[in-house]
Amino acid sequence: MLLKLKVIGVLVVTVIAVVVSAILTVNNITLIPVRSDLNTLSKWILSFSYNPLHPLFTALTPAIVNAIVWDYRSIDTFFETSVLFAAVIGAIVIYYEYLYEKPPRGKGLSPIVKSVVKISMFIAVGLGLAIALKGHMTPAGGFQGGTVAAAIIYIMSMTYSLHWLYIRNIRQVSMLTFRTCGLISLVIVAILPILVGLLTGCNAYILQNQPKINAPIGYSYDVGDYRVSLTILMFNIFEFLIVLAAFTLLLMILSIASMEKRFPE
Amino acid sequence: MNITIFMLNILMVSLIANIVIALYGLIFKPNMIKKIISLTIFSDTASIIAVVIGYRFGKLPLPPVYMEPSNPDYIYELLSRSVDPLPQALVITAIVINLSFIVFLSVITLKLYDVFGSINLHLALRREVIERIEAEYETFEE
Repeated sequence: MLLKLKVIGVLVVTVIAVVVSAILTVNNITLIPVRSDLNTLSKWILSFSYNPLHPLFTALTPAIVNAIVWDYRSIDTFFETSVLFAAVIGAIVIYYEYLYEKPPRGKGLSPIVKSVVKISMFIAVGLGLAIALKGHMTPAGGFQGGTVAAAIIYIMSMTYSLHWLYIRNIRQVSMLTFRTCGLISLVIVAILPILVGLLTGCNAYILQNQPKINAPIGYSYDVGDYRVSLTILMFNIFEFLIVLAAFTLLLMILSIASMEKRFPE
Repeated sequence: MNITIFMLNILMVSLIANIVIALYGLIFKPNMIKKIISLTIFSDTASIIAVVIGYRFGKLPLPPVYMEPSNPDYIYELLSRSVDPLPQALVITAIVINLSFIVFLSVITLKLYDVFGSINLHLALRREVIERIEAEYETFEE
């Protein structure tokens, strides 16, 4: 009875949505702005994201969204990484007692599933790494690549068991160490221009990507016959490591915590 | 009737309905897991709205990527056809922050179950009130 009411409710909502849309269309009203031109800021970013002829403004990054995330609005990304860091730290503080806990033994799934995952896990981790490494030239980046690689870790933990991962040194503490190293490396890349500036006596900025008119420090490398930013590549690599380690750590702590509750020894 | 505008209006009305249903779940459902699911739906719908607003109508739109970095004239092609990259960049940040918040909420839910034996907020509150009254009664008896 309840299921029938839910189905009728969904159908009623659908019909109302179509009728309201039809009324709005007949009256020439659009809820989404239909535009064929961009605003000035978007045009500016499109023009200078990869423009070697204007070294003052360019990020030397063909992937424009990555240029925005790691150059033009890099402080937003810095604080976004801090929020992820704080969330994982909060989770560890709440379940601190499981940080050093060994997961119980498990059999995992059937041999057929194990064989399939054995073949595909390297491809999947490689795919995640490729997404992160090419983030400055193609869409995606460090966070997306880290999520793909973390997903395969989750699949491996279900297929083989958490204990299997634990005895191969994919442990809570090692992931925490990995993540901390990734964060420290990210901070070092962010303040590296300032350190180089202090040593060479030049002006520099935090999170600086390419050389500016009054700050001649920047890092880039050649891909075939064009140059791209090295700083953004490094940011993507370290973000990949941070996200992979953070999600694996959360998986292990939360799984062990819930297993202890259901199957107390 | 313009079919494009009709489909866009259906899309927007569906997204608004999604937000309303998510808000209903967030406010009126006492189960923490349902609240977390509603929050996820709400934040993802808001991200979709931001990305859809950045769409560019007219000629076949291009993604905001320099497909030909060696070609200096590609910039004009992008300026005339590329979609707005700004909403996409802001949505990436929003997705990560939402994910962090939902991870933390999930951990809090598990701890709530440890302490109160239930993820229903009404039951948990009732148990806490009963425990407090019992503690006060014991103190009074002493």
